[in-house]
Amino acid sequence: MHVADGVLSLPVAITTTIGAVGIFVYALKGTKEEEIPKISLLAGGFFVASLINIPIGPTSIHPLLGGFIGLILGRRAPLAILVALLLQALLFQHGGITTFGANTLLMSIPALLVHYMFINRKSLTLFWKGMMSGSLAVLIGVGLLCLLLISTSSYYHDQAFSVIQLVWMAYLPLALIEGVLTGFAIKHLSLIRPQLVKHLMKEEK
Amino acid sequence: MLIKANKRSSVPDWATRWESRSKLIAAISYTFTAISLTHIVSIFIAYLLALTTLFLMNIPIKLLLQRYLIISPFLLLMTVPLFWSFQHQQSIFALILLLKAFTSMTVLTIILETQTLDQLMSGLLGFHIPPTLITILVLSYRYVFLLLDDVQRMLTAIKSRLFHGGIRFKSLKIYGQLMAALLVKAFERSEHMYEAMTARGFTGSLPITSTAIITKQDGLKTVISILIIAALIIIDKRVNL
Repeated sequence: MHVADGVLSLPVAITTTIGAVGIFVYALKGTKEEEIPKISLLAGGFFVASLINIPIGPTSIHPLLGGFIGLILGRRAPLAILVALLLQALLFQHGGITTFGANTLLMSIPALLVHYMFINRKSLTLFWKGMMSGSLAVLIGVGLLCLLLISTSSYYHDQAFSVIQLVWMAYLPLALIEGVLTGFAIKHLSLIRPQLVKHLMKEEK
Repeated sequence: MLIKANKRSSVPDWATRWESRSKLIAAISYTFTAISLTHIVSIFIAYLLALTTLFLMNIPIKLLLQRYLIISPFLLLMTVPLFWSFQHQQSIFALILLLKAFTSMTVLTIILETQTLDQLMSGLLGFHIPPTLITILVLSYRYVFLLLDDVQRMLTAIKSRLFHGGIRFKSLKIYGQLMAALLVKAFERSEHMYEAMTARGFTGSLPITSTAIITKQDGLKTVISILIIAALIIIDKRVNL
């Protein structure tokens, strides 16, 4: 999700920038020295993985990976997201300057939420944890984007065919695809590097 | 995936010598001002000023148009229903949105094309941000090119096995496995890196070379930008009266 400059009003841009600073401070607090290389490289890994284009007919989509990042990095997810978004802006000009805070929040809040929602779910297998967190992260992100759009202007939602409706229509299929993708990725990760998903498996038999 | 890390040789010296931090301050202030403008006339002036600066810096228009293409899918998503309504106010709102987005992308292009990525990173590090974030940013930036090579190799390998992609269940499984494999590679590299760094006395932050000094000329360029920003705000208030 790369909200471009101009889409959000100045008060919303400033508020989200302050919010992003808050979530960054929360993620940074208590970071241990030995975690730094892991967060750095996984941030790079997530950034590169999100560039994999999946062709669909004449167009293509790319995964957002908010749920995946949340499940793997937990509380440190906003650090990786912030760095990955900065790299995306510098290397590929995705996103914007005034919307950088908003884009960070739109990815970080769902990542943190799915982490806390699924870390102690005993009844779910890893595939389902991945699937549900992948889909939910997209849906929560879209919900937050709609809130920001509504806060910016009534023009975004007060018509029969509105921007909000179009956003949901565009992102709902992506949420499903992202879920399946995250499910398979988490399951595969548990087979080849179980220690990366150990915190998700501890309650499983 | 080709990533251009060098600035253009055709860009004049006065643009490339503008110190990174002061240039960033001017650019961020200009973009925030542009999105705060409310009248289409003042926003159009802000866009023209950014465009004029781009031309003065000899940055090719083709490159700028390519950058506009990058943001156009999201802008279409945001504006199509507004134009579709065939109402004057909604259409003006959509036009303003497009002008602001293009102004911002023009400013971003100026920032990216008048310095190398290393200079830009060094400038970002010059702002007093926590050392942990600096370390994460520097390490990610250094290793991202290796990871891009990894993913290119993986994609070439699966394509050579006649994998065509798409959103079928089987294809998504392969994409998921590819992502997991990429993360494992990144994780393994991070383990080796941590061992090497601790052996060299890593204590949580990397030693960073000091950023360039802001000269009077740099300050003057930033002050001129801020005066232009102030003029834009005044114009916006006047046309709204």
